[in-house]
Amino acid sequence: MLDVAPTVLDVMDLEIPKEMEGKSLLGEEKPERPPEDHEKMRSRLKALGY
Amino acid sequence: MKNVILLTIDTLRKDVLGCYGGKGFTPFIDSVQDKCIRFTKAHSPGPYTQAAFPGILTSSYYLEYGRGKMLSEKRVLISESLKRAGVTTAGFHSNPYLSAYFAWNRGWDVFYDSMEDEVDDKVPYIKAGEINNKVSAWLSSHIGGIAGYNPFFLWVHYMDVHEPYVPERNYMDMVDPSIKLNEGEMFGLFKDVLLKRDVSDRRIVEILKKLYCAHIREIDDGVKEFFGILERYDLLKDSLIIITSDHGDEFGEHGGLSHDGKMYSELVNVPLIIYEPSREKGEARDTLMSLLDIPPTILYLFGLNQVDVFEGHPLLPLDDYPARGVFGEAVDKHGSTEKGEEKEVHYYCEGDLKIIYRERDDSWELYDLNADPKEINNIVETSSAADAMKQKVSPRVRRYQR
Repeated sequence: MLDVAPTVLDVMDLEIPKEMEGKSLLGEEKPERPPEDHEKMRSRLKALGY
Repeated sequence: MKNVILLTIDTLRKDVLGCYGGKGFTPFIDSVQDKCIRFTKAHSPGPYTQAAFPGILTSSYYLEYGRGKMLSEKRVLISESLKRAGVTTAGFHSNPYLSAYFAWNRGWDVFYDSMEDEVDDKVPYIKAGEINNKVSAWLSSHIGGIAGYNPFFLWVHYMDVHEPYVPERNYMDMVDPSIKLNEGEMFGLFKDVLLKRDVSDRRIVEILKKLYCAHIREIDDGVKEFFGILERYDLLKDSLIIITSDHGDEFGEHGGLSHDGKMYSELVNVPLIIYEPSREKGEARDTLMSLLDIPPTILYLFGLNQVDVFEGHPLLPLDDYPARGVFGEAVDKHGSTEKGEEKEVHYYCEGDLKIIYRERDDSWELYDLNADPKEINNIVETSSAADAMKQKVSPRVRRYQR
């Protein structure tokens, strides 16, 4: 139940106060970045050997 | 001291620095040691960037808040606490893992992570010289030629030592002029040997290490240039500078290359140097400490209260620092070609003892770092201290899932 409030805030794209002990069920991955950002990240990491 | 600067050099092994007994590839860093405190037992909380930097910038452990790729909102970046207190904060680097993409941009007045800039395969980051140019431009605008500028915390991170190890020819000549590899051949070693973690040919591994050392010589010039910029703006006398690394690099010491999820000294016993311009004599400290102590130290230097969730302790004043053990944790197999379920790896150091737990095979290793600094002889079956050391680590394994 601790996770409900952070999840609601996350859905509304509002900041989750650090004092809240629960965690958003949406996880910490933010899907709003365009695909080219993900591709650029993959490419940069791969070039560094990851 | 008006300003605090954190200068981190990615993948910098402690033992390549002249001031730590290396071969003289760091003449500038060595030359300022009379104004430095040099810590000989500084430990990174992890053997690669994602595992180490939560300690360096948020004074928290990598696995403390689960395994999300994004920087957890529950962590407090030193930039956030300083900015709230009215200190100007600026960060300049070129490591994708520390970029805004992963939310490391919180709390910075100025944040450059290079992700908008182009890089190439052989040098897949923005080099120190260009980072320095950006820092110089920012300093010029911030101080604006007036004495009354706002105190600042500046974080500068260089990537130049990181693989793929394609150093410039002039630096290669300073390390070993007999190595005549061209850029393509050096890059070939990266793809064919380093990425495959192939240590079967000791001669090739030695060449890789020399390429790495050429980058060390190169980054020493980058640090020299950075100090020159501070001097040019008359800031050096008003700035305390912390120099460290997130982790080292392996060249076959424990059967591998690069920096995967191992916890041996070549990866986690890192350099830590505090440059104090008013200091008249350098000193070395063999206190066992963690890079988690950096954010609390920065707060102390700005005269600010400690942050409750910070897990480190201020390094200063030196004589007030408590003797205590240090932890490290990571996910095994990082960066390797192996696939499969992620497993944790942990270490704990106390006194001269170091214990390592590897979840993959439920194995323990215990080393006496004084008698066996290369961590060759596992004494976990014979040491009377083994059980007590295990009990320090066991509660930390998979703790975020409980």
